[in-house]
Parts: sequence; C-alpha cells; structure tokens
Amino acid sequence: MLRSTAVTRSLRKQLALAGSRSITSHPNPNIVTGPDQNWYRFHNMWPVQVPLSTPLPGTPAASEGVAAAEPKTEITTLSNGVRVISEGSSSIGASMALYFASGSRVETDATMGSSHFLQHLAFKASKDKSHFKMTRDIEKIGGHAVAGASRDCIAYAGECLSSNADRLMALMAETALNPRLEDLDMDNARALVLNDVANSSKNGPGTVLDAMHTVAYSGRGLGAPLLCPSNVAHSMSGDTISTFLKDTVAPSRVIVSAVGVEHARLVDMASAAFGDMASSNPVAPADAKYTGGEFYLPGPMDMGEVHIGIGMEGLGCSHADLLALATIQTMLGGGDSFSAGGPGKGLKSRIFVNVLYNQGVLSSSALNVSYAETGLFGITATTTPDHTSVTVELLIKELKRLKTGVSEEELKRAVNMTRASLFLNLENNGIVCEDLGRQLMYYGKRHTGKELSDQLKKITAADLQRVSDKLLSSDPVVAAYGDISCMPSYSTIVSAMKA
Amino acid sequence: GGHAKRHSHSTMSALLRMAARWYQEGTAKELRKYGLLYQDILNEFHPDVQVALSRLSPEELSNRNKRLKRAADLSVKHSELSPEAQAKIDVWRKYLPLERAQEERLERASYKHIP
Repeated sequence: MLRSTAVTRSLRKQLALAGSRSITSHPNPNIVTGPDQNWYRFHNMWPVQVPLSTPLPGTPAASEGVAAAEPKTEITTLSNGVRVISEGSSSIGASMALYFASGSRVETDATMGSSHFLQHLAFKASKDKSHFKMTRDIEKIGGHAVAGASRDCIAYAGECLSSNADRLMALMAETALNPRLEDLDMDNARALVLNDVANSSKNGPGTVLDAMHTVAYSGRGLGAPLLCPSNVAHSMSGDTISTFLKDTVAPSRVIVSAVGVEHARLVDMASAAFGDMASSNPVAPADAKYTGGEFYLPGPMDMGEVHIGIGMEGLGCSHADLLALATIQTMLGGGDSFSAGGPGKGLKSRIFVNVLYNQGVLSSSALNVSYAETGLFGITATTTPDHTSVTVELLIKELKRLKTGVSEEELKRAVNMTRASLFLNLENNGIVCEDLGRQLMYYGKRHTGKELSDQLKKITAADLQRVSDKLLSSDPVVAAYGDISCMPSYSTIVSAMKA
Repeated sequence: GGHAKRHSHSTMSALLRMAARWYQEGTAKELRKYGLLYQDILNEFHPDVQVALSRLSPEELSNRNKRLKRAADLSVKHSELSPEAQAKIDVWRKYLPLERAQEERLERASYKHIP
C-alpha cells in the first residue's frame, strides 16, 4: 500500500515537471501530449503556407556560385631528370608525395628487404636530425607524413597547410635521401620489420596475394617478397640499405607530386631538395614474365579459415584495355558475406549474387593489380575449411562465366559504378596526389578523370569479351593459405577451368 | 682555474697533461687487476648509461656482466687477474653508445617549443 502511493506520487511529480495536463488525453497510452502540442494546435488553426521556393520579401537575392574551374595539371622535368607534377587546387591544404620508382622489384639477393626497411626508417632519424627533432618539426607545421614501400615504388606522402608545404617537402626529401643508418636505427627498424612479419601470419588475404605474386613471377622481380624475410632482417645492416639507395635511386626515378601547391613553387621545392642529385643510369628491372602455378601455404593450427586466390595474367598499366579490365572487376565486385544476399540487400555484382550466397564463404572479391608491363587479375575468397571445394568450384564457374558475355544492363551498371568510384576517389586530394605521381610513373603523362570517364563510356560488351578471352587464355595461378587440407589440387583446378 | 690564467697556457696544459696521464695510468692499472673496462664501472643509474645499456647488443651485455662477475669474484678472494690476461685488456675501449644517448637527452631537455 505504502509503496504504491509512493510510486504514484513520484509518477505524478514527473508528469507535473513535464507539464502534461493528463496522460489520458489521447486514447493511445503511449502518446503523451505536452505543452508544445498545444502551441502547434493553436498556430495551425490559421495555416499560412510559405513555400520555400519563393524568397521572403526584403531579403537579398543569393548569388549563384560559380563552378570551380577545371584544375590544371602541370608537369616539369628538372635538368637532372627529376619529374614534378602538380594539380591546382583552391584548398588551403596541400597533399604532397614523393615517389622513388624502386620498390621490392629492383631488390637483388644482396639487397633483399631493403624497401621494407626503408619504409620503417622513414621519418625517423636522418643524418642531420634526430628522430625527436624530425617528429617535432613535422608537428610544428601541423603536418602528417607517412611512407610505404610496395613492389614497384617507395612512396613518401604528407599533408599540411599549403603555406608550410616547402618545409614538409624538405623534411620528406631529407628522410628519403639521408636516413640515419647507425646500429640503433637499424635495430629499431628491425623490430618493426619483424613485427610486420609476425603479423602477416594473421593477414590471410595479404599472404595469399603475396603467394600469388611469388608463384606468378617465379620469386624474382615482381615476385620478390614484399616483406623482408625474417632471417634476412636479422642480419640486415646499414651498409646494405645505403648500397640499395645508391644503386636504385636516380633522378630519373624520382617523382614529386602535389595537389594544392602552385606548380612554380613546387618546382622550386623540388630543385632545392633534388636539384643537386647526380644523374645516374640505374639498371632497369627485368620485365616480369608471368607463369601459372600453385602455392599452398599451411597456416597456424587454430586458423579455422582458408584464404584462396585464383588468378590469371592481367594487364599492365599501359595496356589499351585497362579500363575494360577495371569494368570487369567492378562487374565481379564482391565484399564481405555480411553484406550479401537476402531481400533488400540489393547488391548486384556477380560475386555477391553467385558466390557469397553460399554460407561457407566468409568474403570474396575480385582482384586486379597492375604494374607497368603486366598485372594479375582474379578472384580471392575466404572460406571455412569444409566449404573449400564448393568455394573453389564457384570461383572457377565465375571466372569461366566471363567468357559467356555480359548483358547491356550489366555492362551499363558496371561502367557507371566504375566511373562513380573514379570520381568519388578523385574528390580526395591525397588520392589525386597519388594518382598524379603514379600516372607520371607509368604513362609519362596524366589522364584526367573526365578523360578516363569518357573512355569508360565507350566500352562495349565486345571489349569485355576480348579482355576476358585474353585473361582466360593464361595458365591460372592458385594460392591458398590456412587450413589447406581440403584444397583441390592445382591440376584439378586447371582442368576445371579448361573444361 | 682563474688563478692559473696568468701562467703560460702551454705550461699549465703540459702540467695538466702529465697529471692526467699519471691518473689515467693509475686507474687503468687498478681496473686491469680486476679485468674491468672503464665503461664497466660508470654509474649505472645515470640516465645516459641506462639508455646506452638498453641499446647494447646481447653479446656485449653478456660480456659486460661476465666481466663484472669476474671482478667481484677476484675482489672477494683478494686476488687479481694473471699478468697475461691483464695485458690483453684495453681499459679505454668504448662499447657503450653514450654520445648518442647524451645528445638525445640534452636535445629533449633543451627543446623549446615555439609554435
């Protein structure tokens, strides 16, 4: 009795604070009316419609904005061969990148792993500055700097205010050309390299991609390991790194790109940083030759997954059909199984519809990597071990389906999605900066987004057919990592693909 | 100090050099008796020495600890190293990366943030 009156008293107090007349004014007990409702009821008795399309009298007319001018790309080559490319932008921030067209493909047996080490030596101590000073200098200009080494280049990227761009570029050049390579610096980099190697066992898709490269390019050049092998890392010395830098970094391989920095200013910055680099003719990397093959790598005992990749020879960056290949990749699509299947999901790319409906497939997507003269194309998937053979069958079926052509609707959708992702990516200055540098590296000139989009619009089903036929004519490369006991053999896969 | 400035620079520094050499040879003789290097007996609680010790290779660290244990053993037995073994020791060998540790500490301590 006492408790119920206490409850009702507190309830009434709450309602009184809320200002409600009563909780029974509406037949639905979930709807509680408040004082605001009364205001609306009163003011809606004489409705006055003021459409938002007519301006209120007495307000100044808004001036229509002027469309931004199409940004201009400018390219300059310095006297020693360093190339500078920039795109104008009205943004207050600058994105800059420095590319050395070296990477793991130019490593020799003696310098194996140097690119990976250089990635971890970046923005640490240089010959003149300590790590502490380098970090504080970057912080002082509010900059953000990263470095990454891949198979065909080592990239140093940074962003800061456009007014501070020269200072950041000087720091980037300093760390790229003159990293400090004493024992302590090498030990610190070694710890990071070994950490990467240890973590790679947990990165299934990355391991599969590396395995596909290793077997497709016979372990050399593009097939050389991206991560420094741990036995090599333990004995890596500063001398090896400086030899690698001396042998592979030539002015003709240096590209400076930026968005949001005036071209003339960028050229000055590049001259200040690289102007006195002596030109040299580094040994060009051997052209990568693709071969089919298999690489099945057993994973840790408790992995519980199999990561699979089935690939074929793709197209190099300079190939005329590169955009058609990109359209095929979009058409195949793919992603995580969480987003797949079921009514209302609406994801229509082929891998979603034909591969990811299967319960055992955890994720699957199309793979398309291109280097200067060659590339890899295929489908990767992650699956539970007992669904391995079913998944491989589905992947093979999907790859063979490329031969049977594509409907107009599917082609149009794939082209539009590719164009959309192209433009969406070009909204990001960092990506534009990377695009500038890489296009200069591969083509020697830059194709704007609009040019690429126009070329995409011209793609026909016949183009896709031609590219698919070319893809499927090469021997497949099959890689698997994890619980590989249920993986079908390479010969089974090859005969299934040829059937 | 200030008083010595009135003498000729070369005389003072020659005297100092003689004194320093006498002191160094005496120290080296004592250290050699126990099989130690000079950098073995530096104050291990000094921040630079601590940082430098953390950067030693496992081999150097192990050798240092063995030298220290051997010296403690010799001291407790009121004994000293044999003359042949003493002759092999280079007391002034620098194996601790102290310069870099000191540079880093001083740079950090003296850093003035002026945005």
